[in-house]
Amino acid sequence: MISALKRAYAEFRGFDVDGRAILPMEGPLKPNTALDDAAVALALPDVDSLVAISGGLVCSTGAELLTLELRADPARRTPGLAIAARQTLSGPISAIASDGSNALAIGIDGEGITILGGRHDGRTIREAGGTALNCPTAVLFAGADVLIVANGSNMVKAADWKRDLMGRGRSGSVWKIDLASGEATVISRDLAYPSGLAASGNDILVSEAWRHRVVAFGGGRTDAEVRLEDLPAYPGRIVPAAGGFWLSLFAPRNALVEFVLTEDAYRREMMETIDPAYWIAPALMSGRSFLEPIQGGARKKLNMLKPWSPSWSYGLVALCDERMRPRASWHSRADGQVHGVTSLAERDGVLFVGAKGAGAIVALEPPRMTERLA
Amino acid sequence: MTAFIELRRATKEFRGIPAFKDVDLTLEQGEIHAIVGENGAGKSTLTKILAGVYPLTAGEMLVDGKPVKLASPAEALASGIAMVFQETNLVPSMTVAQNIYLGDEKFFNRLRSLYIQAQRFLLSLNFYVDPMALVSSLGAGKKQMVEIARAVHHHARLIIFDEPTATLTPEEKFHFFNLARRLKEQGMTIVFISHALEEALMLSDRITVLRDGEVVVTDKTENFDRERIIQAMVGRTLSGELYNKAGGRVPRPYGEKILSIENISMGNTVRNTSFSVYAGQVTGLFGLVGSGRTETMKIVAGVLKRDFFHGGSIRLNRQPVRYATPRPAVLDGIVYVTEDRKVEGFFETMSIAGNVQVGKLAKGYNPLAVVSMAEARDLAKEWSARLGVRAIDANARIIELSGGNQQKVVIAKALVQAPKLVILDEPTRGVDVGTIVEIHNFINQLADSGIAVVMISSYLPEILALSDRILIYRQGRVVEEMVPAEATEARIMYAAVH
Repeated sequence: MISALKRAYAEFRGFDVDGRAILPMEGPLKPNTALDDAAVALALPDVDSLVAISGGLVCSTGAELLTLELRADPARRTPGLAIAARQTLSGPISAIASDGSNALAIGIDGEGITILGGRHDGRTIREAGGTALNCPTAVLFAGADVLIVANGSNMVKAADWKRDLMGRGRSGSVWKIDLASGEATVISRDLAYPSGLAASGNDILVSEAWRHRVVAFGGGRTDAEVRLEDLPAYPGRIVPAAGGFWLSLFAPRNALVEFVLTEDAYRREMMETIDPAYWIAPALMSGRSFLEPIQGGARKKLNMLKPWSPSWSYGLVALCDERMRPRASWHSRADGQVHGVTSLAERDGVLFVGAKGAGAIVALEPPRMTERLA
Repeated sequence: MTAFIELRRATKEFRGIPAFKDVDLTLEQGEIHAIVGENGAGKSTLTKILAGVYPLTAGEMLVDGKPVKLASPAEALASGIAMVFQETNLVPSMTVAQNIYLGDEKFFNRLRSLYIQAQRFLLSLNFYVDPMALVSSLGAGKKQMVEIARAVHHHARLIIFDEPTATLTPEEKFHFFNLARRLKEQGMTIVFISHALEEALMLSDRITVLRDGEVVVTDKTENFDRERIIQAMVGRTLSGELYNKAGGRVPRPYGEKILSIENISMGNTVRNTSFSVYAGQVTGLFGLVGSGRTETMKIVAGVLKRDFFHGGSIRLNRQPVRYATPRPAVLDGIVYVTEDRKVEGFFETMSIAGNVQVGKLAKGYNPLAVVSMAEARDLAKEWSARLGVRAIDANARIIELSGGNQQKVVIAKALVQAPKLVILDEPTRGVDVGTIVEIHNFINQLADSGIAVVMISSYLPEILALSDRILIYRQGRVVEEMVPAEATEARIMYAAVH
């Protein structure tokens, strides 16, 4: 009763009780055009789940698992990429993790986790603790026989992430699965779309996309420790970097979306009657169809989309320190092309950025990174 | 044709430091002349010379071709020169009519005839102001009209306005512009100082740009555009030695996020602005007068209150905070060092020790309600040494100190509270050159020690020399962020004006 009254008063005064305020991209997240300036290593439509393995990289496009090899290009400072092998799996791939040797844990959207290579080759895990792993968004090897799995939602598949966001999904969970015994332990439930995992000492870092934050579990704590919050975009995959972590943010937050999230009847009707591609919702890429609602916030001048205009899609990679404090960032702005960054992989000192929205992998030059870190 | 007023090689020095030097300026009868320049360029001093507030150190002033020496504003008024200051000189407890005729009263005064006379006079100027209204009840625009009426009543041929539109609403600005044009048609000369370049371009016939106390250019307004004025205003040669860190400086890394301001609003002054402040950095806030920088930080410090409805939120170390008064902000580690030290910064009748001790008392609870003066003196001595306050001893009255030393005491009074976030509003305003360097060094030391410093300044070289991040305000919100590597005076000014 008291909390309801408090909430009513807060809404009356206009307090931001749900964290809907969107902080500007400023400080270490100050916009630039570094992602657009970077060289395209490989154009690959629908590229996702880029992971570094010994000898190269792997990634996915739909149900295909691709092995990529680095090719030096004398015309450029960064290497290019070429497809070395292809393998088609049983369903669309939504996450990949490498154990550092020859085993890959692959999340199949709507099915579960499949292990390729290593001691548990061919094994498929469809559920954990009675929960179907129908939305594997991130996988992490925490030892040869231990797998950490982020199940983004109990309700939808990973490809349908937009429905989970607009449905105010809070059904995600993170699991620890012992591959030897098959035992599954829940690390956390009721998460708002866990979409990235990384190990930080004894802790597991989890990107909780719809709460726009990164939290840490483990280390004897019962509750999550918030490491990074108030992000102006939805955080996705986390990749270890020298002295910190790379963080991909796959779509920008938008005041209109935050408003629509408070309008239940409107949102329900929109979700029932309109194609998800044209919802008032973030996207991995936008501006390709005139049917999209208010493109770029209508900030077109002389047929040029202004870089600061609100947009449904954006490209953003952040470099955080070991405490997940942002230190530098690489952007593709509203008028850029490298939008919808869903995966990152560092190889030979070059950061490869998998932009699913743009359908391309771009390579960031090492000097640029060190400059930003300085 | 003889110019109405002419300054020839005019120089004004304060304690040997020139406010401007070798200035040549002519004002024609019936023109509107804008004087623009950065803060500290010498605009106000120049106009005060014209108005007889200060005498010239060297050079000469001619009115109608005849050399004059104006010893007081009254003498200037007798020569037909009146000045309307930023803060009006009206008596708030008197009526409009009484203010207009103040100093010009007859031996026997009949209020009724005074009001009728004033009404006629105001209407002749197209000023719709009630002559019987108390001045304290008038808005800024109407007060300015009364000031102008007073000047016209004293047969002024030249009216000087210092930042006339800074406190005006858009509607009042419109009325002011019309008024200035009407006065010009009547043959009056108008000189106005403004930071709003579009106003200078819109209203004036000629523009003079001052920089570092020298006239850079005087030309007809049609020969100017915004870019040319900005270029003339900020091109700098003299302050290289003082502000020698500008350009190529490596900014300090981002520390913890200490303060998050989210969608803060306060009337028309602060409009839905958001930004963050990080520990171990100097965050510079630049903007023109009235852009909302000071008000935003005063909301943070609990001096002002944000809008009651949808006023936004402030988080200090991730915790939402809302201060109705400054004291809880001080207890949470926020200190605000005011831009107006004489009014808000110190108790002028108290000693240095007393002022510093007051700062400390604001931070802590003193159950015995006993203040040890010996302790206060030790504290003052310690801070005087740290900040280099030059005074006979800690018992010296603060009013007897120079502006720079007063400012140091005001800073000491704030820092004695062991803050996490220090907001310095125009920290070197009215401070001599030597002290500016000392204060700058101290600001750098604060940031190096891990304290979050917010520095509000209207002086671009100061912003460039000290800031690790520069946030630029325009019309109540942050419109641009720059890092030192990309910031230039022209770019910052462009963002603040456009």
